[in-house]
Amino acid sequence: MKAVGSRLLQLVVLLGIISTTLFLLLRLSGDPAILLAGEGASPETIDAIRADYGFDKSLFQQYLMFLWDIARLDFGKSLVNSQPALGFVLQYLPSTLHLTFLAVFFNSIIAIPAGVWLGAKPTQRRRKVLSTIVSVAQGTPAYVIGLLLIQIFSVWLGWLPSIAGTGTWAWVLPTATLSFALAPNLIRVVAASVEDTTRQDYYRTAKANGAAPNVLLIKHSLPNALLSTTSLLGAQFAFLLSGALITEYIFAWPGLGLILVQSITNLDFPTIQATVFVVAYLVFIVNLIMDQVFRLADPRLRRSQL
Amino acid sequence: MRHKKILSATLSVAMAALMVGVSQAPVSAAPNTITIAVPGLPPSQGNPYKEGPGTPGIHTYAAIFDALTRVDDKGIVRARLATYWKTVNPTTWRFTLREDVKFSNGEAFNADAVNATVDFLVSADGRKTVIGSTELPELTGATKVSEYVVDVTTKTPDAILPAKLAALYIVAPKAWKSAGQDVFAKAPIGTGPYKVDSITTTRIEMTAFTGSWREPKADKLVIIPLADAASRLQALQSGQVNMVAGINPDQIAAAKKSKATVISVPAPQVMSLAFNVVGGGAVKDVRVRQALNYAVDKEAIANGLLAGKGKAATQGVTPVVYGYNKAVTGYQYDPAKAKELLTAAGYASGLTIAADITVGSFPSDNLIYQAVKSDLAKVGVTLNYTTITFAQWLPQYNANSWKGEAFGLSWNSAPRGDSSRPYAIFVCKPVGAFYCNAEEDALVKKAATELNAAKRLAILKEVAVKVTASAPALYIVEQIDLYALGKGVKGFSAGNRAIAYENIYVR
Repeated sequence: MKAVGSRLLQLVVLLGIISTTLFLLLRLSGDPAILLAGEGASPETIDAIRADYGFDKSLFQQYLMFLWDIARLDFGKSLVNSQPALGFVLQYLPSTLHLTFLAVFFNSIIAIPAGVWLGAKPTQRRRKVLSTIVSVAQGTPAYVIGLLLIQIFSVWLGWLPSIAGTGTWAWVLPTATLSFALAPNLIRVVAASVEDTTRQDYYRTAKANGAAPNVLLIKHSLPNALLSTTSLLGAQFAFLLSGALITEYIFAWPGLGLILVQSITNLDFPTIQATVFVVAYLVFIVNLIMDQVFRLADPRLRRSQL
Repeated sequence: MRHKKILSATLSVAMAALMVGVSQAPVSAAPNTITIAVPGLPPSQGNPYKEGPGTPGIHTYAAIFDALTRVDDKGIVRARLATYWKTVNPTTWRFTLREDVKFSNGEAFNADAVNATVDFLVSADGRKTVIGSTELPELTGATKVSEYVVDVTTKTPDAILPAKLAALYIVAPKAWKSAGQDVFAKAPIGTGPYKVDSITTTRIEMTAFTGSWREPKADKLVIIPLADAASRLQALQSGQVNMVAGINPDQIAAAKKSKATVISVPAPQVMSLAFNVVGGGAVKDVRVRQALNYAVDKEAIANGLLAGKGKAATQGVTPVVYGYNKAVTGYQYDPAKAKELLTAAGYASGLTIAADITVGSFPSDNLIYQAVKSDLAKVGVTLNYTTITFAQWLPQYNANSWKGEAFGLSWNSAPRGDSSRPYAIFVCKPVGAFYCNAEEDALVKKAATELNAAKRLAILKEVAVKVTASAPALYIVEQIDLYALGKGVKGFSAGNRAIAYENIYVR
């Protein structure tokens, strides 16, 4: 119970710091009333819009109102589409979560076996070739991967759609784009971890005792290598929650990243604040889960809790 | 065997995860569906007053709404929901409305509908919208004369009110009143050829409104925003969309190779680098401004970066705009003359100009600014430009708080197609003026109130001569709008950025 209370306190402090920083940064970024009024609007019109949204009050007053509102989870209405900002953002959350889960899942099933294979015998010639390919792939932006996949599977072969909302198959290319974009990093981490375990005493002892190569790999290398892998997967998951912007951009994907960029472009403060709040909350939850996963996976952490 | 089980379980989870997505995927399977990819949807969704009259809103609103008038691609005002108009007194225009027009919810279109729309626009809430505050601030009200005749009044005599009303879409009055503008935006009702089924930030789906006075030839219309130009073209090449609004000039060859038809429509817009003359500095000297105009090879830019579809700008408006003066030939590329003028102005050793620009608004605009910079460097002028967002640009533009000597500015005549719109920017504005010439200012104001068409046209042509000579901007190119049509798309036409959706169908 004490641990839960501590975590909740952390969450409140985290959201408070993020919200305050965001509040200040947004007020420095520009005046949404000018954008809403349009090119060449009279100062009177701009003032009237400011008054409508409370932007005419002092910064401190605005901040107090802001804190009171977010304490009630009321982010106000979007300045451009007038929908309640939190509800608007939450509409797009399932789509982002779904894509994130899929991307991390496929990323794992591509990258972990590849990384293990690469790390087990890194000096072998064909593995060096894969290592080189991974290095090149790591430097390839997701934007390029996405366009290449569309060109091959949509334009040339005509097998898959590239626009969101056109059926089940529309999930394939965005998922593949994100998976391929994330995989090289994970492959390298897994490979390096596996390679590192092969230099450890316990590995050499098991090898000297005559353990079969597969047993060495699966029983002695992989469990230790997966600790760092889990850490990276958690970070990748959290990263995707904040929106796989490029993917959403080229596939017209209705996700949080796209919403965030559009709201920043329009200085739509309530929507920006609601999006960042939701993402911060989710990242916190992901980190919480990852902590538990680490405890389960690493006996040393479990013991340290005793 | 164990590995097979693991593999099987893995794939099952993956397929299950994929299948969850099915429920979120609305599919338009109507036999005659037009799907169009556009650079963006209107952020305020179906509220036609919160958006400026150009893109991105116009790609959506042209399918849903109608205005009283429209302006064709020669700047001539044509009938839309109004069939005839005349002045009753200097501040009143009388409009005779089209009869037997219905809104897509069954409401009748008549003088009451026009009254309701104008009443909103002149209300406190209406004045806070872009259309109410910047496009039609002079409107004071509307009065019903009979079922199909309405008087629209203005603060001061307005010679081109019928053209300006092309920016005012008429909404279904009862739906607007009962829903309120916020809810109406999710389910907009107009008299146009399509009625909205659903609006999200990534898709608008519409069904043919068969009772529209512009009855459409297709059954469904789907508008999809794809902000990336490469993605838009790929969507067309793969047959996922039938049409694309906004392809880049460097994509024309690829589009044609995939059997698409590329249509270039002259835009009522001139891309320019405006000078902050009021702010002082070197650009205060007209010789410097003229020199900069002579220094840039606009023909080469139009041919090389706009694939020959755009043209070198000779003045602040294009030939499709009312008030264009074909006698004005502008500044032909002449770097020697540019050097000569710079020397005469005291800048023989060159000068440095700072500018703030936005990019991504026009085809190839980023490359065009680079070409301008390169040409200016050849005559000893260093152009240091900073790319900023529109949100950063607008407050500086409104208040003329530019730190540099120049800024990116488009001379936009849409949707009224009249040169008075861009020239009204280059006057002695009480707030935020960046250029002020008393003689030109008087002429622009005279044109605004001159009700005699011939006299007014003469004034506008005189304005073109004088403003071009004064060079308050580096006129660069007449912009273009590029559309690509997939196989079997028939009946496409667009004017003043509005697509005539009613005529389009897929064979």
